Amino acid sequence: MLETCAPGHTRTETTHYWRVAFGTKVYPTLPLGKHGSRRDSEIQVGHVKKMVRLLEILECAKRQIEQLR
Amino acid sequence: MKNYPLLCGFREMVAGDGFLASVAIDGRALGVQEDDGTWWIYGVNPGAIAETGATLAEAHAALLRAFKAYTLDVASESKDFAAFDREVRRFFEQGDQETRAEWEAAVVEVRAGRLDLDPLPKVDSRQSVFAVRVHQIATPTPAENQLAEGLKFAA
Repeated sequence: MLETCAPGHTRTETTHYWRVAFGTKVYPTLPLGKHGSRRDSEIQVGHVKKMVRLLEILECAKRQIEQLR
Repeated sequence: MKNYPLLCGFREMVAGDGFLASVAIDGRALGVQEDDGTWWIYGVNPGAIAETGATLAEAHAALLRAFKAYTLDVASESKDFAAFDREVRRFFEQGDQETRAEWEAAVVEVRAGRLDLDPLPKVDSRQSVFAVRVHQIATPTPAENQLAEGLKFAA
C-alpha cells in the first residue's frame, strides 16, 4: 500500500515501532507487526487508518485496503 | 461506531545521550467505540498515535504505554537534547484534518446534550490549553516528578 500511495516514503525500524515518513509528515508509532516484538502480532486496521490520515494518503489507501472503506 | 471527544495528558521523564528530559503534553484525542464494543483512541494532538482495547480504560492504558515507548525511541535516536525537543514538538503539532473534524463534531454533540460518557469528568474544552512542554533537567529534584491527569470528556 505504501509503495503505491506514498512513493518515496521511508520506513525505519526503531526499538518499538516503524517510523514512516512521507513528504513533510512523519508517523513514528506504527507497530512492528508480525516480525517485531509486539505480542499481538498483527497490525490492527486502526493503526493503519491513523497513519494514512496523517500522511494524507487516505483516499488512495482506501482503494488498496478494504477494511479502510 | 460512536465518536467521543477526549482530553488526554502525558507526562514522561526520559534519559537520552547526555541529557535528561521532561515531557508534558496536554492534548486531545478521539475515542471511538466500534460496533463490536471495542475501543480505539486516536490522537488529535499529538496526532501520530492510536491505540485500542476492550474497554476505554484499556485503550487509554495502551495509549500511555505507546507514548512512553515513542519517547524512549526518540531519546535513543536523538544526538542531543535539541534534537529530542524538536522531534517531540513536531510529534505534538502534526495531526490530520479528518480526526480533528471528528473530534470537533463530537464536541458539538456533547454541548447539545446528545452525547455523554460517564463516569469521565466533563471539561469545557474552550477553557483548556492544548500544549507540549519539553525541558532539559539539569539537576534532578523531586519537584520534576509529575503525574498526568486522567482521561477527561471534552465539552
